[in-house]
Amino acid sequence: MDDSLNSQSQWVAAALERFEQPLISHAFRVLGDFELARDVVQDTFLKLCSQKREEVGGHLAEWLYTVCRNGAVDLKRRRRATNLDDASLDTFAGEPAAPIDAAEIGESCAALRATLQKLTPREQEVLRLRFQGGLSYKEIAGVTGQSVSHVGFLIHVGIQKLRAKLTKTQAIPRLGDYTNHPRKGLVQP
Amino acid sequence: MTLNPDDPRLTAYALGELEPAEAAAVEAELAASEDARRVVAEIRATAEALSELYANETAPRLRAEQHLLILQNAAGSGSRRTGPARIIYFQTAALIAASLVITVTVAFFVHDRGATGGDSLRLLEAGRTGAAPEGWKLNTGEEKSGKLDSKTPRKGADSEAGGEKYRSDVSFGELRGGKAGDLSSLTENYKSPEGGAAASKRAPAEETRRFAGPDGAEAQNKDKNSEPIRERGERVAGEEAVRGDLGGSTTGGSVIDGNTTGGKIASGGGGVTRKPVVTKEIAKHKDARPSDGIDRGTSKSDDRKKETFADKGILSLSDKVEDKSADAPGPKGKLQSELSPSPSETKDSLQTEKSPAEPSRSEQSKSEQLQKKFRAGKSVESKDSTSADAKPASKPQKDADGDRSFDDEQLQILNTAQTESRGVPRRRRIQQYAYGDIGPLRGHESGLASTSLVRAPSGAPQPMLSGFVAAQDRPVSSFSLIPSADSYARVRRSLLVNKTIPDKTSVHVGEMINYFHYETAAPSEQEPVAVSAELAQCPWNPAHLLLWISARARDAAGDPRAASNVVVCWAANEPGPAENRISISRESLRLFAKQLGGNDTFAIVTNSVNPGVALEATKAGKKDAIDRAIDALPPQSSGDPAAAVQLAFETARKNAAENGNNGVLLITNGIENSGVRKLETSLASANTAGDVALNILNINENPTNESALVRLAESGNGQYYSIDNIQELQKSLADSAMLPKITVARDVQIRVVFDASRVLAYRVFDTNNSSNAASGGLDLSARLPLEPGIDWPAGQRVSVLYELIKSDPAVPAAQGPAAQAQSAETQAPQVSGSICSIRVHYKLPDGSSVRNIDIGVRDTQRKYVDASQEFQFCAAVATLGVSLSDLPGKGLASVDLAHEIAVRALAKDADSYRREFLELTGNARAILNLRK
Repeated sequence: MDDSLNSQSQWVAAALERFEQPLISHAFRVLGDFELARDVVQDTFLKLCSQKREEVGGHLAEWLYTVCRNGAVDLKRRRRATNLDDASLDTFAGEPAAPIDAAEIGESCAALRATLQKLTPREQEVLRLRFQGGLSYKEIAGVTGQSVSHVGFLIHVGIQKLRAKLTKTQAIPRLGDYTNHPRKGLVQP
Repeated sequence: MTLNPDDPRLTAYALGELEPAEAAAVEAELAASEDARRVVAEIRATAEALSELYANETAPRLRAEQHLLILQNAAGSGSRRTGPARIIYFQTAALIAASLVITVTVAFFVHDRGATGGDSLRLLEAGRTGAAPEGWKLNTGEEKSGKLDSKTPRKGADSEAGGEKYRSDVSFGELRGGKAGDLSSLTENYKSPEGGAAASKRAPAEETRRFAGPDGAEAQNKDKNSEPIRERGERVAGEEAVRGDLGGSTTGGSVIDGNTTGGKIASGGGGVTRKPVVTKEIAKHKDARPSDGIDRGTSKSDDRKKETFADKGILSLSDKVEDKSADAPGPKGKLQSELSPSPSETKDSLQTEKSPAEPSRSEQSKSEQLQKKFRAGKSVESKDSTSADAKPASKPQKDADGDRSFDDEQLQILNTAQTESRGVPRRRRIQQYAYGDIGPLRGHESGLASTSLVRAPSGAPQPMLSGFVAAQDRPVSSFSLIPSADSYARVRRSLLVNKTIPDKTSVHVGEMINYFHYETAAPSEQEPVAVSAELAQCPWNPAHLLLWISARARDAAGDPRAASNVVVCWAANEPGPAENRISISRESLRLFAKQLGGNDTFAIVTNSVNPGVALEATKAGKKDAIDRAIDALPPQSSGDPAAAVQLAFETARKNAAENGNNGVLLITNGIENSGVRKLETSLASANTAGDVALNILNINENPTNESALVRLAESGNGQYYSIDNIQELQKSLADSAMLPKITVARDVQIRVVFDASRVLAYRVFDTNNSSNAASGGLDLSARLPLEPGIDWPAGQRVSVLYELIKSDPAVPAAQGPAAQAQSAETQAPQVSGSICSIRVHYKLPDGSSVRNIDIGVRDTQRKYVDASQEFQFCAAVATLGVSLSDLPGKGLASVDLAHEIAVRALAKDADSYRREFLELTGNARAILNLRK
């Protein structure tokens, strides 16, 4: 019993450590309020506590993001039902104007951030789920309720827009000089 | 090359999302194309940059107390408490204060045992390390019945305050050792019979301290048994409120189930479990209770304190409170301090905890006993509740004919509901209300919210089944008359389109049943409104009754509706695979045109490159001309929808129907943000007079910017409709919701008055009945207003379900002053011999006359299989909703049961919506089976 309890406890603790901030960030994008986002994330993890590990299995990220997103959307819906002024333009409100300290990011990140803010909220959401949450197309489809192909399309469009911006600002190199780029080890041209 | 640089497959390949075969094909293309390789490299670089960007984000973390709560729950020891964050600050302060109190108490206890302060610390350390401190005997796995008793009188322990004595239970739950990361908590519960005012006068009468040490296996069983409660606690976590009360349940404060929050001590070291459970009871004198025999529990957070603290993960002492009314502490004025329960006590305790199938009490006349206790305000004693916790894992199978023993079933459900009510703090919604985050609570919400604490006739709170309202205290109920089917649309989309089980919080039973139209009695010529009701056995709780009330307004047909002038703005401008949407859009126009009457006019404006009028204002009777214009509409329009809307408004105003309804119907496949902003600007300039309504029909399986479009439609005095397939379209159009309608009745109110001698409690499923609202937990001393009256247009229909718990006729019901005042105020007569009466109050459209319709509902003890098909189908939908929701008291509700009922109720299915419901249940069954 101890082993199973410890295992469950460690599993939740590991999930908390891994997904706490991304989930808060994700819920914040929906709710626009960090306090509410914290509440939603807290509820998400409390729900996780009552789940059997084997049931969630290898779909932990998808499960967490789905529950968190649904909770945030539901909370937002209820708040909006009584306070129309609080309604934002879309379920996923998108990137805030300056969520991170500009001094901490480089020029390329600044360009990327600026371009990211111009994407549609849905594109921003799937990109965040993919590159922050590490979810696969299929998992993102499960979280957002869209088809896998549409998720692929949204990610593709988002990446294309970002790529166009970055290549224009030479934040990422063209093929010819790519081998000299610091990230050359990550890409096999 | 078949791949171009904009091919999504390149992105998918770069991100490793392609299947092996597809990836091989792409690689073959890449080998031959330098451009493609460059694109892939750039995509990967972009992806890497994006990952870095997100990784550098500094999102806030959860607060320490939130961490603590989560990890406590993960360890199986925490109580489930959630709510808005602001409350946590208050919690923290209370928590610190309680920590000090408990620390002193522990130290004092140790001192009583002749131990030193160092022993106290060693005891705590023992919990962490799993090693018994010197001079202490801790039960181990090999010493289940090991006992350490210390009965030391405690001076001044017996005291009396305000003429009454109070009991305080302090439970030291789970000591969990062996892991540095283990958490500690200490919970103290005070019980006061007189509520908040009395709490300040709290004084301990007796104390009993107990250390118990069941082995690990027992703790596991206990944990397993408490799992359903934690699950239920989790279900309502999103709505639980008022954090000032850290103590979980507010079931009258009389019983707090320690099982909900653990109450175990387990050691992680050496495979040996040591679980001293310390229970301190400060008991009150039985004879000091109020003379009316009502065991008043506590209601407010200041009646009972439950605080938790953590000390670097050393100790986990969680709230376990046992009702000691049955085995009250010994002589008054004595302190019983037991380091281990007696063998018999241990055995009893363990039996109730570890033997789910083994009843802990006599089963004789349990239903009656429970009902009497329930009526008298007594709580179900903890041993009963523990046995309820330890109910058999397998649910009882439903009899083929739905027949079952009333007593057993009621006992089970009462126990279940009672158990569920524990560990459920107050709802977050109430907290949001308290902080002004939401508007005033609805009447039904107040009722549901007060289900954990209802007022006895004397004003003292009583324990009540979670999710139910006591009829004797609140005999008059109302429900929302605004039909809404949003929840069914979400459930439907989840099960049919996404093939997933919908999120529990999105399932609202009231909204699900209102998706369907039921064939009920139409209003007579004299009355524009009709109401019908049917009562039968509740499918998911056979001991309960299900009351179905259906109200409808006179249909629009034959009414002298004012002429309508509708201009359709065709803005199907979504690029991409929109062919299906276009066909649906065209079909929608045809169906819409069919809804129009002969006096109505119909025009179409498109947003092709140059916005133009595709069909001038035409009498709706000229169907051929309208059909031809619809067929000629461009499949894609790349123009500006804002300009088209402007033109549509101009056209509508040019052909305005005098004293009629003028509107623009915008049909779109999705509008981006910029387009919405343009539309807002265009609408502001085009509709300054506000004489033309704007309705929006968004035909898109993945709608975007819905919130903005909703606001746009609302600012245009219209409505927004999201359509994802032809069925939904037909449903919306069949409702004729987009057509202006005449008002047939004003200030419509429906009140249901329950006979408290026949109905013990009820809960309502209406369109405002969110799953969270039924979780209960609010103490509302004042009666909140009932649902206000609204105007009803022609064709309006609304259905509501009440789940009723019948009263035991042997127990007379007393009606509290609040209830009497409520009844008198509503002036709703109680129809003789009926279980409830229903009054429809309305005014004629001109306001000249106020009318009432009264009907009574009798209990004919009919089973649901004998009820009408309409009732059965409504019950089937509700059963599905209940089974998928996070409502307490689900009973036998399951997808299978919903399917079985619905199959028998398909006769009146002209529109095939009911057959589609079977697809939902079929998919849900398949998905659930796959999960298994």
